[in-house]
Order: sequence, then C-alpha cells, then structure tokens
Amino acid sequence: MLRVNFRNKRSRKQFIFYSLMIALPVLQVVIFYFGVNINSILLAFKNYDRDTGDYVWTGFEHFTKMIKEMTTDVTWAFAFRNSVKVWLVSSVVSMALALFFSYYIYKRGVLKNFFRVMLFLPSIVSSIVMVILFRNLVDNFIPALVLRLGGEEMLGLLADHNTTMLVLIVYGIVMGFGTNVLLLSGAMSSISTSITEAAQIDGANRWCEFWRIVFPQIFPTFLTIFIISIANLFSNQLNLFSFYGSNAEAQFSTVGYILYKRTLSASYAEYSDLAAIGILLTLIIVPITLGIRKILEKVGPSND
Amino acid sequence: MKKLIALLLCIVAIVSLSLVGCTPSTEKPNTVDSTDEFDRDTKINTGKTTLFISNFNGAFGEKWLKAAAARYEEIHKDDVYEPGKQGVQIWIDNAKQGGKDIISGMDNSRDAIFFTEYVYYSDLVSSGKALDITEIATQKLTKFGENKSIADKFTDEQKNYLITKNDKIYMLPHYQGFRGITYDIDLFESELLYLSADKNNGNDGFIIDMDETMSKGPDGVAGTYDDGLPATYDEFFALCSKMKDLGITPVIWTGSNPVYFTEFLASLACDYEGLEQSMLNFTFDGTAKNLVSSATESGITMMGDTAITPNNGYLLAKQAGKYYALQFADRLLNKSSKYIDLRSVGALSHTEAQKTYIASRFLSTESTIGMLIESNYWENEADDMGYFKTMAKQYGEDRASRNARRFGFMPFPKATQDKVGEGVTLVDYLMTGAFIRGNVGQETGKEYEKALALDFLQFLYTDESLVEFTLYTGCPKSLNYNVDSIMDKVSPYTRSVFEMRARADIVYPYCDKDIYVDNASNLNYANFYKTVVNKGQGNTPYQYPSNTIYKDGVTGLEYFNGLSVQFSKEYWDNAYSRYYI
Repeated sequence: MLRVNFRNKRSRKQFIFYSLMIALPVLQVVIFYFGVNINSILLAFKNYDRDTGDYVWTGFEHFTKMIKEMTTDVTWAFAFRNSVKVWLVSSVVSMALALFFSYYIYKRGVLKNFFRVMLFLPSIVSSIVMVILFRNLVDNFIPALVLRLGGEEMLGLLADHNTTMLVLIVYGIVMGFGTNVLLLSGAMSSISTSITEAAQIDGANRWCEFWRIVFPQIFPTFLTIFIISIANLFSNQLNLFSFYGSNAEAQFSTVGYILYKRTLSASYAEYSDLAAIGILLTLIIVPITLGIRKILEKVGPSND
Repeated sequence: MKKLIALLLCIVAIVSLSLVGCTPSTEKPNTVDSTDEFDRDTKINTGKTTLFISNFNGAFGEKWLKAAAARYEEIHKDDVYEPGKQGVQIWIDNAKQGGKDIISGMDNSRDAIFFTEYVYYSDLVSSGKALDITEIATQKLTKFGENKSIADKFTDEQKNYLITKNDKIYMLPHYQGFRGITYDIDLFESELLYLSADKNNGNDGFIIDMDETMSKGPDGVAGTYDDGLPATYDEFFALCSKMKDLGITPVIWTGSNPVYFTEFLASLACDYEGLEQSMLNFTFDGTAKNLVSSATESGITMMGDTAITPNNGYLLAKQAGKYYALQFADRLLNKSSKYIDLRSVGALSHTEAQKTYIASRFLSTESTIGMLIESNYWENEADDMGYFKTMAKQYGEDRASRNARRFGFMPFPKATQDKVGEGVTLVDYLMTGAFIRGNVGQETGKEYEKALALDFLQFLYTDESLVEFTLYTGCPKSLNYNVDSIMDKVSPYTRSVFEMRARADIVYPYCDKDIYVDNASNLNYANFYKTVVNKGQGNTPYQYPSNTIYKDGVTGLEYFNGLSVQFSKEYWDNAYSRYYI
C-alpha cells in the first residue's frame, strides 16, 4: 500500500510518478474492458433502430431467441460438443505433456535448452505463419509424398474429414503447450534444491520426487493454467479461423469459432443476438470455473 | 561465444519463419510501377489539391481508377480548389477492407470516397456516416454530354434498394460479380468438345470437325454465341465424360474457399428459378411456383403455387432450383466419375486454381483442365497476379499471353430439357458500393473537399468512365451502360460475359424489407445451403455441398431434404417471428 505524505516532496513525487505509470493501464482497462463489456451487456437488451441509428430497449427478446436457437439448432449442439471435446483432450494431453517436459527441463535432461526453445518457438512465431507451414505440410506435402511413394491420390489430412478434427486438436496441443512449459518450468525452478536433495537422500526416485515434492510445489501455477483453460472453453476457436477463414465446416466448429465468425459478418441489427449469446455463455462458464477451482483447491495437493 | 551463436541462430530461425508467411506486396506505397501506363505523381504533390480515394484492391485492381484519375486530373489541371494550389491530384489508397470495416472507421479516414464490396447499405445509411449523394445521382449528366442521370442507369431492383424511403441515395453500385463456369475455347475447338446439331452423328453427339453444325445451346437458338455448348445438365455431364475419355480433367475450382462452389450452385438454382422466384429468398413477398413437396430417389413431386410471406419463408428451402443444383453437384462430385481435380476439395486457393487452370494447357506434369468454376473477374485477377505473363515468358506470347488465350463464360446448362430456351438469370453477389464520407469537407481548410468528391464520383459514373472501367478490368460495372464501342478491344472472355449479361435477368441478393435488412448476414444467399443430415451418427450439420457430398458421402438428395430440417418451421419461428404479418 502506497502511503502518501503530501507535505513531503519526495513522497509527492513518488505519488505523481506512480499515478502516471498506472494511469494508462487503468484507462485501458476502463475503456477496453469495462467500457466494451458494459456496452456489450447493454446491447443484449436492445434492438437496433434503423431510423435513428440507435439501439433501443427491448428487454429479454434476444435471450429467449438465442436460448431457443442454442438448444434446438444442431450446429450449436456440435459446437458445444466440439468445444468440450477440444478442452478435455487439450487439458489432459497438453497439461500432461507440459508437466513432463517441464520436469525434464527442470531435471536438466539432455538438450534441455533445445527443448525449451523449440517448444516455445511456436508461441513466438506468428500464428498465421505456423498455420501456413502446417497446412502445407499436411495438405500438400504429405499427399504429394504418398503419391511419389507409389500410393494413391489422397486428400490432405486437414481436408479429409476423417482426420480433420484429430489434426486440428494435435495442432492445438503442439502450439499451446509451449507457454505452459515455460510457466511450469519457471515454477519448478523456484523450488528449493534443499527439498529435492533431502528427498533424494531419503531414497525418493524421480516418480516419487515429481508427485510428492515437485507437483505439490507447483500446484498453484498448475491450477491457474487449468482454470484459465476452463474459462476459455467457449472462446477457443481451435485455430479454425487461421486455417479456414470463414469457411470451416459446421461439423468442426466450436462455440468460439461460431461467435467470431458471426460477429465478423453481422449487421448492426444482428449484434444484439451475439451480445445475448456472450452473456448466456458467461452465465454457463462462470459457475463451472469457480466450482472446479473450489474443488481442486480442496482436493489438490498441499505444498506444505 | 556459444551462447551468442545460439542466440543468433534463434533470431535467424524466428525471422525466417516469420517471413515465410509474407508474400511480396503488389502495392508500392507512394510509388508508381515503372511500367505503369499512367504517368502519375509518385508523391503527394503539395502544389495541387489532393483528393484521397479508398479502393478495394482485389480482383478488379486499381488500373481502372488510375485511368479515370489521370483523365480527371488533366481536365482540372488549371482549376483552383484552395488558395495557393492549382489542379487536383487523385490519391489512391488501396485497401482490402469490406463495407462493414469501412463504415466503423470512416469518420476518421483521410479518404473522401470509398469503393468497396459487401456493404450493408442499411447500416451505412442508419450510421449517418455517408454523405447524401442524391443530387449527383439524380441530376442529368448533361455536363458530360449525356441526357441520363446515374440513377437512370440503376435496375429496378437497385432503385428499390438504394433509394431510401425519403428518396435519398447514399451509395452507388460499383462492380459486378457473377459465379459461373469458364471454358477454354481453344481447347474446345482443338479437341472438338462442342455438341453437334446431329445427336446421332456417330461421335457421341460431339462435332467431328469445326465445320459441322453445332447444337443450339441453352438458349435454344441457332447461330448465337452459345451454339455447341451443353444445353442441359445431361449434356454437361456428357461433355465431362468426353473430356475424361480424352485425358482432360473436366473441372477445377478453389478448395480452400468452398463457399465459391456453394455460390455457384446458388447461382445455378437462381438460373432455374428466374429473377422473381429467386428474389423471394430476400423479400419473402410473392408466390412460390416451384416448391417441391417431396423428393425421393424416384424423383420429385411439386406443390401448387404457394403464397410466401415472412411467416413461411422456410418453405423456400424446398425450391426446385435448389434440388436441381444439388443434383448437379451430386453428379459432378461423384467419386467414381472423377470429373473434378481433387484439389477442388482440398487446400487449393482461388488464385492457385486460376494459375493451375491457365498452366494446365502447357505443363506436362498437369492434366489439361477443361473448365474453371470462378467469377467473371478471374481473368483480370489472374492477369494482375502475373500468371499470364509468367506463362507467356515460358511458352511464348503468341500461345500463352492473356491476349492469346481464349476463354468463354459458359451459359448455365438447364436442369431439364423443357427449360432450354428460357432466359438466363445471373446473381450479382458482391454487394459492392461507392460512397462518400459524411463529414467530408467539414475540416477547416478543406471546405472544397465535398464538392470535389461529389464531382469526381459523378465523373466516374459517366458512360465514358463506365466503359473505361470495363476496358481496364474486363468486367462490368453494376449499372446499365453500353459497351459495344469496346467489344473489339476486350478479351473473348469479357465479350462472352457481356453477351450473357445482355440477355440475363440479374438477381441482386438483397432488398429493403425489414426481415432482410435486420438479418442480412443470416439471409445471405449462400447461407440457404446449410443442411442437416443423419448418416447414422445422428443429425449432423453441413454447410458446403462440395465438401459434404465428396467427403462425407451425403447425396444431393439427402442434402436437399436436409435443408428443410435446418430451415424448419420451429427454426424459422424462433428467428423471424417478429417480422410476421
């Protein structure tokens, strides 16, 4: 807590410096977070009036309409199913891989720095570049290679609907877990070596060390990453827009993709429906996120 | 040292990976191509008054605007718009922003006039951000030697849409885009792919030599430009089979933009339905005459005439045109027939499809491709991308340049024999527009800007400018004007487009009805091809007929019946009941 003594010149200067430093981020949050979200919430209760160019109050009309659409339109059913599927696979596989590689790096395994850079590289290279490279690999190179090796003409792995979903999920995992590795290995590196050395002296093997010492110590970081992934459940696009633009197939769409795509093409009058969807999804995901956090905090390992 | 090398390698890796995604820009900000035929200022000339124009620099390019700008600058070289400056400089800001993005930011733009596509006109008007251009649109263009106004060049549909309830105009139509089939005239001639007037001539109904009398084509009239071209779907697929026999791949299109094929099918359906029936999909006001009551393997049975209102718009999912278009797709995408280049359902981009189509005549590694499903602007786009130049360099100007190649816009074959001889219906799907920033001229010191912008926009819609547009792009502006004077100067492809256009009804897929205006993106004409089909794994949503039929094994019939599952009464009631009458 900053205590300001305005009679003290030094304290006054510190306050001004602090205020100036904090002003821009605060302004940013006020305008681009609170402003945008409050406006979006209000929009859900309004209709667009073309004669005046303003939005006018209409009550819950858009909510009833969108609840019905989301519960009866099979496209939404698929989108919900895909979003949950993607989250489950990504969370389990991606987190497991992230933990494994983080521990490997933490234990200074062979080529640890190479892995650290290579795993993080996709996160710092432009996503569209990675998408172009990957799409060329799976949709052009692999079919051409198969043909060259005497196989039959085939569709690319992304183009072939039998493999599209799997390839998208694998791509999402590979692209996503570099950041987790960075965060988890950072948390691991802050574990006191005296604890792990003591465990080794007591005869703990790697497996035991990981589960009894390391994982409990990094659990708060793990929990944060996990909770963020739940909160992003309905905004995850599965990189569909990067791969397909607005042309992804309905059967592979996620909730995040549908929302993004519809927002891109919506007319003014259609924004209110989308705002209502946003609120409805928030109402679904907030209790889930808070509930899971509470449960994990209770049942998760203690770092004491 | 080791660390330094590692760091450098990382930087090199990251930079080179990042550069992979970059393609050399065709734009040269503040410069003009040295080979450019227009000798224009390369920097903002402070001695002249500058008018900034935003141009959607896609398939239609910027040459047309440069040409018009050069003429305008020459005419007004001695005029004074602001103190201390003489003449005017038209500065073109090339962009690829659609109407929606432009509207949201146009208040703060330096550009005075915007040429773009996919404009929701109602949003443009209600936002209050566009200038009222009624005066220049409705006054006779007498100062340019014409006795018509710009509004006189609108079609009736455009008048209904663009002239607001209080008789104001805020936007003018820009260019025109039609989805269709392009065929290679040289290939058709060399391989004798035209149909003969004599179906029993011993060559499966195809001509034996170019002197043989050809069939009458879809217009049913001998001696017209479509002679020898397939008149019906059956003849089209006979043509595809003939091509296959000759080792030619019949058709290619972009796989990475499956909506192109969907829009093509929608155009095919509109050609079946005609203008009035097609417009029901947007107005929901009229009588549907071609609704299917049931569709099975053995065929379709028709409903009687049905009044369409917003209350029962879902019934339009049963339009026979959609049924026949999906049957067409079913036959074209039949895996065993191998009528398509497999990349059409893969990752091929639209420009790669154009390049592949052009190059296939020459490359030994490619099977020659007979037809391309694209839009009427593709030839210009491919030219701007340099594909013709590249081919001409390798295979000779006389064989491979744009001027040497002869393509044609194939009139849509008809679904059934009884439709042969009926008119052509095309869909201008681009929703293009030109408009002026509403706050133009309000900035201190720029009071001249409004009058200048209005004058230049009007200048661009004179017959001379419209014809010039076609000369440079090979494409039509979305207005009625006569291009006879330049038909000997344009490519065979452009000629065929204009021949079709001259006798076609044109569907503009929008209207001023509340139900359409409030739901413009949902009621986009390609969105009517969302379907739900149960292939044994429960109801599954599909959106693109090309992918769904080829990859998911859904038949055209299943796809068609699924349209009514997607657009059910329940769905319709929920989405549009507030517009019910």
